[in-house]
Amino acid sequence: MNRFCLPASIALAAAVAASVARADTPTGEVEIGLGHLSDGAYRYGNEAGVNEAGLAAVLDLELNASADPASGETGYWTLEAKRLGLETGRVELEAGEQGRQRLRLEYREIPGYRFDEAVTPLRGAGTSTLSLPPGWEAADASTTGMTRLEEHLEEVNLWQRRRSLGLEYQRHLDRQWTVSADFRRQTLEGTRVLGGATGAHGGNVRALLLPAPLDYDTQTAALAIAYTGSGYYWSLGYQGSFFNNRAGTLLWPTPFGQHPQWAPGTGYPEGQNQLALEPDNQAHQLRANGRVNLPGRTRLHLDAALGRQTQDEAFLPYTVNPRIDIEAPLPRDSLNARVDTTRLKARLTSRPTARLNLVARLGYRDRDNQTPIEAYQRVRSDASAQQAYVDARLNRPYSLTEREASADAAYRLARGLRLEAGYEFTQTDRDYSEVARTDEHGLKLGARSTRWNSVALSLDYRRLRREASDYVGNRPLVETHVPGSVGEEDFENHPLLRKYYLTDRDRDQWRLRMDWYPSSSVSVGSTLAHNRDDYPAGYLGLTQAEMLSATLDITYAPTEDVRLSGFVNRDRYRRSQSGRSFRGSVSEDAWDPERNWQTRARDRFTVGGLTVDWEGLEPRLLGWQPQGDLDLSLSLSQSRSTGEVVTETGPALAAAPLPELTTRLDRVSVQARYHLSERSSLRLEVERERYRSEDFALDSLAPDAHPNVLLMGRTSPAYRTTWVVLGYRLSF
Amino acid sequence: MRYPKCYVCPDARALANGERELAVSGSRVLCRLLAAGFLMLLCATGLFAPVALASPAVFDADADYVADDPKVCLMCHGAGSGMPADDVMHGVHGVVGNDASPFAEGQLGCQACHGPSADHLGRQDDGSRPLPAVVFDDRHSVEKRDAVCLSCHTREAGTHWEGSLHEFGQVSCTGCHNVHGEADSASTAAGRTDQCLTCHRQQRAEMQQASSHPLRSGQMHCTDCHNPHGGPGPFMMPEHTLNDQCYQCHAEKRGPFLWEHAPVAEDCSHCHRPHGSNHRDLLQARTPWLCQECHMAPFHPSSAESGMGLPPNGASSNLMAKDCSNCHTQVHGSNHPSGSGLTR
Repeated sequence: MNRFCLPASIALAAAVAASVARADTPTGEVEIGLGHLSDGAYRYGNEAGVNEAGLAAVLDLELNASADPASGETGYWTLEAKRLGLETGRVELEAGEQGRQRLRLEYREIPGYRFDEAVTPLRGAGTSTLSLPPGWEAADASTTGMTRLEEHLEEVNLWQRRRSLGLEYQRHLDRQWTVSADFRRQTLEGTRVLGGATGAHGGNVRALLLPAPLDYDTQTAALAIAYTGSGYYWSLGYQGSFFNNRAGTLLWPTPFGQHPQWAPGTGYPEGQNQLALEPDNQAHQLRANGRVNLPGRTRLHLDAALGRQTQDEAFLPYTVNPRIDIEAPLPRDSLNARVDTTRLKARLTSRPTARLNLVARLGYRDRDNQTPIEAYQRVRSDASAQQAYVDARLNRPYSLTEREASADAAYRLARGLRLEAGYEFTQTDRDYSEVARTDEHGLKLGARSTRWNSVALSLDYRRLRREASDYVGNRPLVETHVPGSVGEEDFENHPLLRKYYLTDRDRDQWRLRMDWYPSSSVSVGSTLAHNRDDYPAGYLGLTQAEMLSATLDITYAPTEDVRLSGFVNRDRYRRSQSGRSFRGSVSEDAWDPERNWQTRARDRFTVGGLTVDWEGLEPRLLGWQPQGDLDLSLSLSQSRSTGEVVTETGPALAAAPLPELTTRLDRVSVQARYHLSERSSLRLEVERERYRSEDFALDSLAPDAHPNVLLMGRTSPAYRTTWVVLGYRLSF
Repeated sequence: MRYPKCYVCPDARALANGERELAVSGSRVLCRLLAAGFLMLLCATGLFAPVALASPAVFDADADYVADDPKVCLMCHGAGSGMPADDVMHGVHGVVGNDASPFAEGQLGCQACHGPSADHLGRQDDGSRPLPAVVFDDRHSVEKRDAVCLSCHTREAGTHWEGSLHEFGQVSCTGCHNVHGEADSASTAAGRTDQCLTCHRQQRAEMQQASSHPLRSGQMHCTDCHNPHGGPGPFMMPEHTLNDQCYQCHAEKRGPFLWEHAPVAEDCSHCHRPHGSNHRDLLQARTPWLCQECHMAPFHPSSAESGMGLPPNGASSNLMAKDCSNCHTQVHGSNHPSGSGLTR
C-alpha cells in the first residue's frame, strides 16, 4: 500500500473530525511498552505481530473527546490505536455529531506467516520472473538428475501481509434522509508457494513448487441514500469493486532435463514456463432495499441487486517456449468475460397475535455468464506440440439460477415455552453440469423453554432432503470438446461417481442448548450439536459426513472485581468416501470391483480455556504494602487436534497406514497491572506459547523426495517462545 | 398526565400521543414510491395503498408519566443507590444536543424508554412498587422491549432486522447492547467479537483450530462477515450470497475466468469451512481426498492414496507437499489459454 495513503487518510479524517466535533479536551490513555520475544517463532507472528527474537516497542493509544452530554453540543471523536510498532497494528478513528453525521477511518494489518526455511534453487523468489542459478545441472527429467541441487538451494520465507484502509461517512440530512459512502482499499503482498507443472508425457507431469509473488490491490466504493418514512423505509445504493493484480504472470525455467517425449527445446536449459496469475477484474452492483408496514402488524421487506462482473485481461500466449510452433492463433486476444447477476430477497414478517411470529421468505439468485465460448488449442505444460482442433477445449461459462422459498412460525405458549416450525425449499438450475436441477426440501422444528427461572433450554431439529435430476456424468466432458470429437459413451470421471454437491442427499441436524444460572454469580452453559449427511449407496464419491460437537462453559463472578470463566469443547468430524482406481489404458479396470477403495477420515478437536480476572488487589510483599492496587489476569488455553485417514482397498490394490496428523497449541498468559496512581500504571505481561504439528505431506521430505516433483523442504511448524512486555500507561 | 410533547422519531411521535394509526397522504407516498422504485411494484399489485398503517403501540396510551423526569427517577436510581441508572446520562443517550436523545429538550427522559411510570412511584398492596411500563429484563417480553428500541433505532437496525435469525430467535437488543453504560461494548470492534462468542460457542472453538481466519488475534471481527441486525445473505451476511461476501476480501477469486471450476463459482463452502479447520486453507477435508470426492478420472485422480505413497513405501505426488495443487495450482480458475486443467 502506498506509504502516503494511511497518513493522508488520517490527516483527512482528522481535519473532518476537527471541523465537526466541537468537543472538550480529549481524555484517554497512552501506553508505551517494550517487549521481548525469547525465541524466533515464525508463525507466532500471525497473532502477536512479532516473530523474531529480540526487543520490540509497542504503543497503544486511546483518545476520546466529547462535549459534556448536558452542554447541548453533540460533537465527539475517538482514536484507538493498538499494537502500533508490531505487524498486527490497528488504528480506528471515529468522529461525528451524535444523531447527525459520523466519519470513521480504519486501518488494519493482518500478517500471514506460512513457512520459514523453505528451500528452492530458484532465484528471484517473490517476483514475476524466476531463474535458475548459474551452473545448474539436469542430467535427466527427474529430480535425481539435478546433480547440484543441494548446493544451489536457498532459503525462502513464505508469508503474506494484508493491509486494509477504510473510510466510511454517514450523514443524516434530516429525520428522514440519510446518505453514506464507504471507500476501502486492501492490499495483499508477499511470497506464496504455487505448484508449477511442466513437461508431460503420457500422464506423467513434472512439477516444482514456486516461490510466487503476491501483489493484489483491491479498491471498493459503496454509495447509498436512504429514506425513513412513517411506516416505510427504502434505500438505493451502488457498490463497485476493482481488483488489480500487480503480478499478473509468473515465468520460470524448466529445471528438469529434456525428456525424449517432450517437444524439442522444452527441457533445461531452454525450456520456459508461464503461469497466468489471477486477472484484474471488476464488479458493479446496484442495490435497492426497503420495508413497508402493511395492515395487521405485518411488514414486507425487499432487497434486490443487479450486478455485473467483468474481466478482460489480455491473454498470455498458448506457450512461452519459442521452439513450439503455434499454427492456430488464439481465437481472441482477451476473454471479454461478463457475468450478470440478479439477487432478490423478499420477506414478509407478521405478528398477528402477541404470541405468534410468522416469517415467509422468497429468494432468487441468478448468475448469468455471458462469456463468449471459443475453442482453445492448448499447448500442454509448455512442452507439447499444439493440440489439433479436434482436441481443442471449449471454455464453460457456468450459469446458475437458484430459487428459494421458506416459512417459519413461532408460537409462545404460557409459562415460557416457545415452539417453532419451519419449511424451506431450494431449487437450483445449472448448465454444463452433470445435473441440470436439484430440489431441496427442508423441515425445521424447535422448542425453547424459559419456564424455570434458572434454566433456559432449547432444542432444534432440521431435516433436509435434496433430490437431483438425471445424473449425466460425461456431460462436462462432451460439452467441453469440439462437437463430434467425444463419443456418447466416453467418460472422464467414472460413471458411478456422484459429486457430493450435485447428488441426492439427506441431511439431519439437531442442536440442544442449555443455560443454567444456579445463582446470581454462577452460570453454566452447554451445547450439543450433531450434523449428518448421507449420500446414495452404491456409488463412488462421498458417502457420509458427520459432525458432533459438545461445549461446556462455566462463569463464576463472586464479586464485581473477580471473574472466573472456563470452557471446554470437543468436536469430531467424520467423512467416508469410496472410489475405484482405474487406468485409462486398461478398459477392464473401470468395471473391476477388486480395484475399489474406501477412505474414512476422522478429525478430532479438543479446545479448552480458563481465564481469571481479579481487579483491585492490595498486594503485600514481605510485610511491605505498597499504596497502589493491582489487577491480575491469568489465561490458559489449550487446543489439540488429530486427523486420521484410513484407506482400505480391494484385493487388486495395496494400502498402508498413514501417519496421524496432529496439532497442539498451549498458551499461558499472565498480566499484572499495578496502579502507581490514579493516572498511571505499570503493566507486565508474560505469554508463553508452544505449538507443535505433524503433517505427513511435509515432514521428512527432502526437496528431491519425489522423482517428478521438486519440493521446498518445508516442515510442519513447531515452536516455543515467551513474549514479555513491560508497559507504562498514562491516563489523562 | 399525558406528556404534551412529541418524540422526534416519526413512529414514536405518534405512539407517544396514542395514535395507533398513522395516516399517510396518497400523493406523498406515491412520490416516494417513484423515487424508491421498488414500491411501484407493491402499488401495482395492490399490496401497498395509501391506507392507514397500523403500528404496534409500545406503551399504554392512557398511562400517566412522571412529571419531573429524570430528577424523580434519580432519587432512587442515582449513583450509589441499590439500582443505579444515572450512567445513562453520561453515555450516548444522555447527549441533550441530539434532538432524538431521550434527555433532549422536550423529550421524556427515562420514560422515553421505560414508558409512562407514574404508577411506579406508588406501592402495591404487598408493599412492592409496580414495574415501570417496560423493564429490560425477562419480566417483560423481548418483543415489548425491542419495540421500544426500534421506535427510535429503525435506521440503525436496518431493514433486515425483522425476520432475521436473531430477531426470530428472540435475541433482544439489550441482549447485546449496553444502554446504560458510558460505552456500549457491542459497538466496539473487540467487544463485538466477544459479545458474539458468548452465545456462538461452537464458532469460538472452531476459531482455535489450526487453520482459521485471524479472529483469535482480533485482526478480524465477526462483523466483518456478519451483520448481527440481519442481512439478505445466508447466516446474516450483508451480501446476498456467500460468494459475494467472500469476494469482499478475496476479489481475486471472483473472475470470471476463462476456465472456471464449477463449484468455486457456485459456493465457496463446497470446499471451505469459514470458521476453522484442521486442514490447510480452511478446507472441509484433507486433500487429495476432498478433490477425489468429485474427480475420479483414470490414473492419478482415481488412485487409492494411502501410506503406500509415502517413503519408504513409495512417493505419490498426490500426497506430498501440496498434493493435487502441486500441478493443479489454479483451483479457483485459470485465465491461461492452455490452462483448462487449472495448471496454468
